[in-house]
Amino acid sequence: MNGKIDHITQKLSVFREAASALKETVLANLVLIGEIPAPSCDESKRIRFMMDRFVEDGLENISHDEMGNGVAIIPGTERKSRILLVSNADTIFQDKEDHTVQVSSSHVQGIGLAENTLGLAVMASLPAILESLGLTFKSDVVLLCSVRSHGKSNLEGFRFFLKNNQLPITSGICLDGVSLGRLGIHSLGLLRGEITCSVPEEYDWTRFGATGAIMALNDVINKMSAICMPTRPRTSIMFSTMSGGFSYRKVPTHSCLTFDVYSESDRLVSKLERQINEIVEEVSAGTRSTMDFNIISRCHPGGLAFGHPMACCAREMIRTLGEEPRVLPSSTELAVFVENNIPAVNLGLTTGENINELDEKLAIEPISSGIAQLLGMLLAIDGGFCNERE
Amino acid sequence: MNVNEWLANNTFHHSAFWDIRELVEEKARRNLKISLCIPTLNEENTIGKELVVFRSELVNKYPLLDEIAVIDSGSSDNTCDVARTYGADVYNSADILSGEGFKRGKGENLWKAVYQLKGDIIVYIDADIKNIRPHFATGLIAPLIYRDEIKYVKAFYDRPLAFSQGLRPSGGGRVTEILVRPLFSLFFPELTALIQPLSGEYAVRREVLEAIPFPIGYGVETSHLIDVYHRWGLEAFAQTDLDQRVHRNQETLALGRMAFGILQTFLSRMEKLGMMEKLPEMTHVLRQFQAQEDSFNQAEYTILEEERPPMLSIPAYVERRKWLDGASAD
Repeated sequence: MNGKIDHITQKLSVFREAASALKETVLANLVLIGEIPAPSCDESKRIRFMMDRFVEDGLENISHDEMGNGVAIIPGTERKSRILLVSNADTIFQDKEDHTVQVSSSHVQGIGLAENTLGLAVMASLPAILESLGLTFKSDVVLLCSVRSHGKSNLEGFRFFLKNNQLPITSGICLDGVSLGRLGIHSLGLLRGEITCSVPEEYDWTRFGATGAIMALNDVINKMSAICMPTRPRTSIMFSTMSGGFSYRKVPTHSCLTFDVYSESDRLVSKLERQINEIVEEVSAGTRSTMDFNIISRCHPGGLAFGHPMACCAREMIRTLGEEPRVLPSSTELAVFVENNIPAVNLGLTTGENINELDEKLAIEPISSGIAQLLGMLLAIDGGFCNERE
Repeated sequence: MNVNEWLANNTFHHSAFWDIRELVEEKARRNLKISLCIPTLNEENTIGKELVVFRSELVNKYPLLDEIAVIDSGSSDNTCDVARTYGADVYNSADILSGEGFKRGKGENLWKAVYQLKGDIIVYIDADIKNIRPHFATGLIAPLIYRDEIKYVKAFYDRPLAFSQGLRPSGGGRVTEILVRPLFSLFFPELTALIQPLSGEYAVRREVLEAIPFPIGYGVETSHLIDVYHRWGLEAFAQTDLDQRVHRNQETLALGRMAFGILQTFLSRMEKLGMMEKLPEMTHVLRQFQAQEDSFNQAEYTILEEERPPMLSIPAYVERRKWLDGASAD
């Protein structure tokens, strides 16, 4: 395979220079998009901005669906296949946060840039970069700005698009802000759960062990933490948020815990689901509280094998650009590609610090390598170098 | 043209000029060159973003700006390095027309830009704008491209983020409302038609800039308005609503210094125009602005500052005073 894509990897330095020459275009898009707040389910202004960009660039089929996803097509010369490039439009930050973006010589700082404004900015800049290089593809390149990705929305927008889209998608690339060199080729099994606990207002506080809704949930956490996890297949429980209570001297009557269960094994995720159910029932009975275990999302593990031609091509691109590829599982849009049996990879675009914090910072210089890697992958997919051997 | 006609014909919203492609075509037809000047002093946090947005959108994507220059007053931070990184022509104000010496102040940089830059139109934009967008430049340049009689386009900002309905204040700053608008109401009533006379963003034809003096400090905007009005009349002005401008807020003490500088400039202009010796008849009408939805209206308030004479000139009081003195002697 290496010999076949040599003619592509040889062009990566030219691609990187072209992307670097259009640095201001990418950064301007990053600023203009990043300063539009877009919490999940409220992404319409960002989508509108992206659609305006696509109109200015003369793309085709610019539209949005009922869910609010924005889509456009860079038409191919043969149009026999379609590569879907996807980046989520929502961020984990609410409108009230300061969305100002600052640009220095080496870094750009602002909230939500890594997750995932940079992905959108690169997508918005792609037509200009392709034009500057005179690069065209045989396949259509479908640009999708997906909505409702984070939290309880759980990739709802992208799922909706793939379910209802009339254009068959042959392969996919997910763009992530960080980090360059990180390559996602498979997704983990995921169970995203929420446990709520309520105790009645007329609770009998004189009863032995009566403690309130927070302590009851604490018992659940202790028991979940005590579950034996195997070293292989790799499995873990990550507690994400816990809320409850009102103030001092007020007994908490409601509490809520959110968590993710990740595993390389679907069977283990199912087993853990049963165990968590049992724990919830046991603690609920012991504390006489009302507990509900809700599954927010369930993804099944899968994706490309390490030796799949698309995975090999991606590693080769990353290596040629001077980075060491780090193959890590992904739980983002790649999981939805996996669900739909579409071969896809997840690419990081630059490096960053304090990701998802208020002082998040991205390095500017590596973005050109991130874009070169993307162009290389588009060419490799377009040229058929990522197809599985018959 | 009266003030209301001027408001109707020469007040724009930037969205009227959304078609930048058409603007570029018209600029080419009229064979105009346009320069953007950003005066700076220690603006490393915001200058990078301004340059990236203007270069990408108004040089690379749509070739509206022929030149972007940063004229710096001697920043001690990384302002100049950041500006060079993003392709601006960076000048140290002291190096331009060095034979004329160097004075520290924004007006100095604006004045030297007239010498240094090549454009037929120069658009000045402050470097401290946190929410910079391309329309900050296009909204000011467009009236000059489309209408020959307009020579000086001033920005104003409005539309508070949260205002449910009905009348709202026009968004003028504290110094505007407390000092400049009352002074204009008294001495240059037509200039009260400018909604935000002190805004730091404006686009001007070279033929105007080369013919007027530039105070170095806080008074530059006020003096421009008086000088252009005196020479070309209200018709030479236009103003454009650029929506929101997010920037650093100044403390009251700083505003006091600003007001003092503006007052000096204002009085010196009155002296030059011979108005001090023969003050115009005092008006009692203060002209303020209020906005409703997309329209701006001047509201006139008659404020009659009547006064009473000293009590000692009132015979009844003199009589009573005698009685009071007698009572206290008893």
